[in-house]
Amino acid sequence: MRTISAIGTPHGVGAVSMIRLSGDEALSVAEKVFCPKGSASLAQRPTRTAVYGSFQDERGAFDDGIVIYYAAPASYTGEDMVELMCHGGVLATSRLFAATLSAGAVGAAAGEFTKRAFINGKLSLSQAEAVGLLIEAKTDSCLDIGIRHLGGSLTKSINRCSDKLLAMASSVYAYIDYPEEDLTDLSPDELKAELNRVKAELGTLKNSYRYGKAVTEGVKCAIVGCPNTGKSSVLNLLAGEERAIVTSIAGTTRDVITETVRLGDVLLRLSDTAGLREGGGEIERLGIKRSIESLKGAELVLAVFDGSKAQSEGDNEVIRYIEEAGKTAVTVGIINKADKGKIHNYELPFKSLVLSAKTGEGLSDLEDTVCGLYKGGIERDMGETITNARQHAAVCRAFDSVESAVNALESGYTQDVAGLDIEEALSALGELDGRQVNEDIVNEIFSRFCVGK
Amino acid sequence: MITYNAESLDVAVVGAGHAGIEAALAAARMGFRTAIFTLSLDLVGNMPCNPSIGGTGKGHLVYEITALGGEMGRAADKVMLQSRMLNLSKGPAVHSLRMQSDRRKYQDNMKQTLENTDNLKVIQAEVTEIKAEGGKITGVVTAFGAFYPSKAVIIATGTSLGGRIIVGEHAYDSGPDNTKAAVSLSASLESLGVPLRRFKTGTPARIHKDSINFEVLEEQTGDVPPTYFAVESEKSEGGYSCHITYTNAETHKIIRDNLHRSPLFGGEIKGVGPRYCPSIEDKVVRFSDKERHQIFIEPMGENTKEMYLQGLSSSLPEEVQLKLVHSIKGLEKAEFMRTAYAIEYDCTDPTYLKPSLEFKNIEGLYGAGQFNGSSGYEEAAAQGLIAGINACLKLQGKEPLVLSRGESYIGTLIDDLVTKGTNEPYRMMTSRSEYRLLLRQDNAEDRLIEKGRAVGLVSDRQYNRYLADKAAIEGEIERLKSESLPKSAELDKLMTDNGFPITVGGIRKHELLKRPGIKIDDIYRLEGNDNPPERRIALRVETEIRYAGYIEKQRREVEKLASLESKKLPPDIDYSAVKGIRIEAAQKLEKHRPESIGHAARISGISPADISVLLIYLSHRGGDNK
Repeated sequence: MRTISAIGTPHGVGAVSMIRLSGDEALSVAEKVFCPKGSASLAQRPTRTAVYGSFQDERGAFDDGIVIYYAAPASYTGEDMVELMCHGGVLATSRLFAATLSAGAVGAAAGEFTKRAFINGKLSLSQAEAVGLLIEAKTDSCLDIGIRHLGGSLTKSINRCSDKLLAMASSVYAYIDYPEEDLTDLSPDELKAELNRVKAELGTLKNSYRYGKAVTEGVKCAIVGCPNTGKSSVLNLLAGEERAIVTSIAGTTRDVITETVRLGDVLLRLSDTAGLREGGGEIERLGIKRSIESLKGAELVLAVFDGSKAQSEGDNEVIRYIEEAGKTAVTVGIINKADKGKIHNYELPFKSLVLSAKTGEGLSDLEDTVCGLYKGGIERDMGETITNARQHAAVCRAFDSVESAVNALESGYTQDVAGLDIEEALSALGELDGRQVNEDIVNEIFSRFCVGK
Repeated sequence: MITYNAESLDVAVVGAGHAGIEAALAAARMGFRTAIFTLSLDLVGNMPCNPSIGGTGKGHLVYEITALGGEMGRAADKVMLQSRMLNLSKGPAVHSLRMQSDRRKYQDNMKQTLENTDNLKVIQAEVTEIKAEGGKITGVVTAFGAFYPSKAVIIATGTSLGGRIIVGEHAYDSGPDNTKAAVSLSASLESLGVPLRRFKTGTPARIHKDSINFEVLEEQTGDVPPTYFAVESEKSEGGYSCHITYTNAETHKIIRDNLHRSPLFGGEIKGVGPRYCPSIEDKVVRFSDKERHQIFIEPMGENTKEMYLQGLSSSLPEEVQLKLVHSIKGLEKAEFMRTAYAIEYDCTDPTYLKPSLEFKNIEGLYGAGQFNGSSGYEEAAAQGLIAGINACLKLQGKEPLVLSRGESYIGTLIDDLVTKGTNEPYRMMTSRSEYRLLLRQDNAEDRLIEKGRAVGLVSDRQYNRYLADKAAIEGEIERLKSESLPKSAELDKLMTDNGFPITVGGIRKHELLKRPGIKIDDIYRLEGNDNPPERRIALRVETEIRYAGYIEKQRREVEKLASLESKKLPPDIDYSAVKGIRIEAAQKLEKHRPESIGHAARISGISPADISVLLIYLSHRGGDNK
């Protein structure tokens, strides 16, 4: 594998920067750019030990710092790795980086260190994905989830379900394969009860994706309302006041630009659609008309009303649009302009709260309400959270199969049919951590049951 | 040694056990000059362990052998002592037929079949050497110095190859049932580059019927009427019973007190034994919390008083065996006729075989049965049949017959062996198949008969009857789909009895049959049908309709499998050069040289990530070629 190099710390000003090398030539590249203090070369020093010295390129020494060498396979990627710590700041960092390149390294592609770690068997797929999460963490919760996945705890909770399913499958099959042995059968009722327990656990995992996704990828959010209700102020409050714009991502759907802002634990991807921009040019009777599409695609709707005025026909039309789009469950009504004194009573078919976009009063209510929608009873530090579509799809498949097993038993099908569903659930979960289903079942039968010919 | 040239053969089969018999019959029936060599003509088709054919998973294999035109099922039908359909309450996919068989009559019957088959020579001689030149088989040499030039050789040596029997402190070279062991052949095979290893198995004691106190034992009778493996076969009526008893605390104490005398625990036995057929001492040690183990007493035949004690396989000294058997209820006065023994033998590593069962490195050399690391008569017969067919197909210049996992237990068995390999004697189990609902005993012919017919092993009689069955099944399903039962008091009662709400009007017959608990006989009764189709047809129709949803789901899975199987891996692929593949995976793939992506995915230690890497590699490679 070619030796790759990358600046491991964020760009910008900091006290220390770190450059990472990985590959067969990592050590020789490092020796070209680093001269240790003392007579022993880097290769002669013990590995995984900090070595002080100076950094140099063809123009001479330009900085001093610390270097650590990790010999394969005891490194993050499983290859030879070197970490070079120089002084922070754009200048020293980029000069050192350039020096590693002229010494023979190539710039690493995004995620290449983790990819190599995965390929070399240092990380499981879900751990590798977790590293991605850590790197891209935009919120504290995201960081939490990432750290927990890295420790393999999502793997553990999936394994817990797998183990239970495996135990069921093996008792079903032990009984089928050895019908005349003196085995205690797992009755359909017991099997059903156990399946329901696993189903509940998988259900929790499955539902956690709502929150996991809200935390890591953000939820598509549309702000709707009649003109002059204060939609822009709400937007500014979310984006501006908190200075919480994290990043701008080119949308994958038809959105042109999505602004990602943080509200408590949840990331909101605010669609910058025409419907949200008013003023200038021709204004349609209801600003919402042009953002109907955005409303349909939204996972969260913030419906803004002018609390200083009574509920209008226009407001009712907005409500109808929301109802027609089937979004009442994910809509939060914002009765705005609380700073203007008297707040009118609004009759809304969804949750609502009073807010002043101007003063920020009521913002924490909004935060709680929105986060509540996504957490769905999941506390941040308990239970596991699914954060990507691949994991979610696998858990959903497992959940559906377990459900189908329960249905099969309930409608009087025999256990062998339920067994197939259990195997399917196992293989769905196995995709997440690469267990081989049939082998596992057969091994389990032999280890748990005393069976003869 | 001085040798002389004997006659030339197309196919030489070494061993006349269950694998050898099917291989030789298939080759001879396909028109090739075939010889089957056996150490003793009195050993042909011997059952050195259970006197029974079939059982869970194994019954499926026998039905499949029958569908392909093999012999085992027909022979079993003829000498059946008791027929029992196992797992009747657990769904049609896992119904498994097991037949107690008259061991002696089975042997005689098989020997006669061999003797009466054209193109087949039955020869009592020890094959001591396999000859090959330039990686290609040239023939076999016997202990008497005869060289038989042969185009293909099928090794089906069972437990005779390097066999060694162990009873307590006593051990001696021997094949099963105290027959001669094949002592020279192992060295010859190894010199050809066939890897050998040691496996172990065992068998319980046989005791005299008159010494058993049947009055205190639980009796198990056979099914009335009995079920058979083949439609076109001579059938015995059976009527024999088996009996059940259990070990107890005293038995277990005797075993524990004498463990130091067991060659298994003393290290005398080095071969790897099967986990599913553990010796009684193994069971007592590994499952020490179990208070009793079940013992099945099976008749060995009509003309003998020997009785087989299933579950009491042991290699303890005879003295200890007697004590432990006498501690068991009903066996207090048991008289031993044959002592239980363990047997070690040489077998090969099946991952050196292609899915056709031909060795990858020696053209024309095939392995079958226990030699390939399997266990069981049925597993052996299945492989023998496939090896025999493929040896002939190769001589005909045709593609080998490779059955897929999605269409058969035989395919599953062979794929498991050649892909995953095995660390213990391999037994077929229903849990080894992913496509259980499709691979039922009752539809074996639908799955396989065309293939058996194509190679010329299925008789006109069997094939024509199959076509008639198929038409009858399809016709009956269509009829039940198009006809309704009118509302009636009887219908209401049927619904209520089975826990369903009564219907508003009438109901389509096949809709009714989909409801759990409702039987096809209920429909025949309600429609007043006094001329229903034959039993096997009616039951097939019931299953097909009831499980239609699940069957369809599995069919889709099979299609997915087929698409992975169709992604062929080029034979010249250099795995170490595949970018991004793990070293361990590259080594495994290098060793197995899988034929397709599907095949690669089943190799143990190959992860889904490795498969993704391979798929990417394949697509790049494809691109280069364009």
